Amino acid sequence: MKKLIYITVFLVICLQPASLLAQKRSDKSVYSFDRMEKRYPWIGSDNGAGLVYNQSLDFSTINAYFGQTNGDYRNFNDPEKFHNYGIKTESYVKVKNVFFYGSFNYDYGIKQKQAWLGTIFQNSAFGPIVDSIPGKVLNESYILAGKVGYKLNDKFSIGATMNYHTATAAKRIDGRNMNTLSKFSVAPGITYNRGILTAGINAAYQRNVERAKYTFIGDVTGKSIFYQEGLWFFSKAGVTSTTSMDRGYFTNVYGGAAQLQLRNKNISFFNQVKVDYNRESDYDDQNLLRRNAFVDGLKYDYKGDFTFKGKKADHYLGLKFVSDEQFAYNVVSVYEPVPGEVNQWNYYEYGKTLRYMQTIRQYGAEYKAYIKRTDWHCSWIFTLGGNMREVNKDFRIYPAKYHQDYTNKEVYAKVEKNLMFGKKSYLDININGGYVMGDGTMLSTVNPMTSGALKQNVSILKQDFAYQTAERFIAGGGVKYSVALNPEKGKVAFCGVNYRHQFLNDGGKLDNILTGVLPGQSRSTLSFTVGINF
Amino acid sequence: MRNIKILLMLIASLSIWGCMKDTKTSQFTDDATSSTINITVAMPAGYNYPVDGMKVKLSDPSTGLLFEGITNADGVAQIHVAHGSYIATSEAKYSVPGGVIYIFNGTSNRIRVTPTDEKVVEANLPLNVSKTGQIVIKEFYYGGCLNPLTGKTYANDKYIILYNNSDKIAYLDSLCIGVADPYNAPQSGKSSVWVKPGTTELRDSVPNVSFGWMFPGTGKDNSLAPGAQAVICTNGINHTITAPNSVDLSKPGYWALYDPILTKGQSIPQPGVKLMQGYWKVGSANQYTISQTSPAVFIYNLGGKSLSKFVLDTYTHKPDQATNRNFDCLMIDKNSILDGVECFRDVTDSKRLRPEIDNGFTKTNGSGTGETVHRKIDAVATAAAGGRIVYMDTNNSSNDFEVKSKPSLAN
Repeated sequence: MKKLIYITVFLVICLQPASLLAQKRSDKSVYSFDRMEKRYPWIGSDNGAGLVYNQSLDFSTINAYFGQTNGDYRNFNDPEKFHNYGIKTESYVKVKNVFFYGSFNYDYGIKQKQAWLGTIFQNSAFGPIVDSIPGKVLNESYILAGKVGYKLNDKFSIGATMNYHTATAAKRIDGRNMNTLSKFSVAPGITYNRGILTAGINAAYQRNVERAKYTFIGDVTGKSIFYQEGLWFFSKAGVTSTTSMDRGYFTNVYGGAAQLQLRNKNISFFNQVKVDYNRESDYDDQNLLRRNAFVDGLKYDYKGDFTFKGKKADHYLGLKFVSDEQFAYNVVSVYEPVPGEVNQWNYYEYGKTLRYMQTIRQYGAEYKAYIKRTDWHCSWIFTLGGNMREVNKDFRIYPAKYHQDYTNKEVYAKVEKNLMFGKKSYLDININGGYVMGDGTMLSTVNPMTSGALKQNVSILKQDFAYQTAERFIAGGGVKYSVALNPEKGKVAFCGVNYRHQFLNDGGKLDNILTGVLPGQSRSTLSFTVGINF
Repeated sequence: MRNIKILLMLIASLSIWGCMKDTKTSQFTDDATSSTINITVAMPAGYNYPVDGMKVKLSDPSTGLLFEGITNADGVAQIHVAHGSYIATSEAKYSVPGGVIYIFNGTSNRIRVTPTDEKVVEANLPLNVSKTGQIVIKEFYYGGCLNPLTGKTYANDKYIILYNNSDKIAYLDSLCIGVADPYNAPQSGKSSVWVKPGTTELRDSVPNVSFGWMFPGTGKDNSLAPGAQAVICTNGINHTITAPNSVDLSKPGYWALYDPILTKGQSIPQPGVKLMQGYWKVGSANQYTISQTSPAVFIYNLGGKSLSKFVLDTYTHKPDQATNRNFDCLMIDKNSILDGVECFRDVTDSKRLRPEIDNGFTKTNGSGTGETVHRKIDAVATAAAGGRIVYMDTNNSSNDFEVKSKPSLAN
């Protein structure tokens, strides 16, 4: 407690009223979104009203990218190979007292030998229907994000955030699933500014709908669809030429966030606390009477960004804490005759039973030092960070109990160097590396039943646990070449390439029980980008 | 000072974050996730055999969960179960002087034990009585095998073997064979539509779908000696030519479910293969369909009726297909059925055959595996019969059948 008081006193002494810095248009040549969000943390918050604290110049980018991932250090629901390409635009613009942010991203991906994934994105549902047949999957996503902030006066600002994401995925082998996803979120907010303090609050609502349709059109029989539950318990159904299975995942997320920033000329301490309560219902066969599962959960997300702006260097310390608790219920739906009808049957719901609890806690800290040539232009950027993640999973179906827990610890570092060639060209070079280790209990079981228990997919359990807890190293690097097309207006063209490689270290803590469980030892990603900032 | 207060308030608000898990703990106990079923087993009227010590199984077709209990002297078994919707089964076998063996078995209605129901649910399990049969289904090969020449499943080689399990000559004449509707076992906890109104109990008759097949003969034309067998197939040809892993069903004496007009889409049987008589058909299909994944097959007699009278008396529209005649069935009374075997894809499938016919189910590991379901040998009865093989017959294929890795007719 004493330490907290000392820190508080120190911060209050340090924090003095800030003044607006004049921006030079030529600075735009060296703008980056990362740097903008570190300098003006409000713009990265969930509160659209926070946009009004963006003191940088209007800045936009449009780029195209291509990425490719392969290698056999992968989880059970990772594809063997994956490549994607797309275009992305992003923009911060202000018109008098109105501040805008907008982004659009089109992404097209091709996954090879994808199995055990019944949703478009991994881990988006606790009880998906999945298939075990590796096959090619085509993905397409359109992601739109927008924010608007309006400065009412020197003290108050209002704003809103709106996001829309629609995606599809289609598998090209039986039993083939075709998924469609729509996610929409809106978050109105308000901020208050007085002296060294700026505070804000926003509400948030998100609606996610994903539909999966499994069909079978081929002649190779004997394939199965798995109704998955937590900790990879499942029941199974065969697929035939008449199979058509539908599943809908409907999620509502209600929440909000509060922000507080204390700042002066050189120091800023920005905090955001976000709370989300989610409710998900899963339905089969497009039948809203046939609810299969219900999930609710509570997520806390704190981030704190401490920034010190020095003469030669800017220092940044980011803190984060996430607590995510999810609870999955089995809904008892019974197929029964419709009362008063002849030969009409339907599903009727008779309550729900809690079967699965999952708690994830993450702690993270990151330090960044920006060694400056000018206010925006950095010659070096050093990053050092660490994360810890604690995961607890419990599954219970009377009279059996199952438990899994594990912890991941990660440290990482990155060095970025900017080289100037004349006044128009830049070369950014980065190298990065990391180390991740894990430990835990794969499964502890109390099950007095000798037969007739719910089945568990043990091979998936093992692969996932091995994947999550594997001791591994990460190494990577990249170069980005930029050329100013119009230095006065800050128009810059750029192209870049990045490479990231993960490889396992034999002899990790759990090596004795998990040797040979994963299909391989390494996985790498190569990506290219080309675009224009203006 | 005000800034300090605000900071302290922020820190305090962080420290009072609640844990949702704490509020859920009471829902995650044995008591909250389970209920008790008290099930009372009762002998059929006219039979006074003891009901003490009978094993009662409760299975949930939606999840595959299975619980067991033993009845007390009053025939009551108290079983603690996870929430769900269960079907109770039980069976017993009693021999009486004269060599007659009575089989008592029963399957209950769905017993619902959910969070919205009482914690203790009472249910009844009335038993039915039947006798061991003379002619039994010895083997049912329905899933096909992998054809290495194409890399795909080859499943035109389905066959059924009937066996004379008694010590007396049996006659196949006018013995009929049928597949129960629906072709594939209902999935995901759904029941068959062929249930008694307002219940989940299957009707007292079994729907024979699409085709009716019968052995020809006038009474004693096609005999089956004790321990002899008859092979019935859908395509009476040598399948090993097309699919090396398959079987030769072209041998003289085998029977083909083939009619030159009704099933002209099937292979013409080889000379020597005898033809079953197709006595009834609906729909436009030109091949006889037996599911590759989860068929239910049974054998029956006409109950002393003429063919035309039998068809007239049993012809029925399918309950959920009021306007589509392709799904009409013949409803075969349970007392006319000599034997049957219910095949599932998975334990979560639902039954089509009544408990008196088959109180359980059998299953392979899927189509294309080359596996077959085969009746087990009753070692005690075989020894008593002086070496003539006697197969198990408790009218429960879960007990009576085993899965073999390849069909018995394969080389």
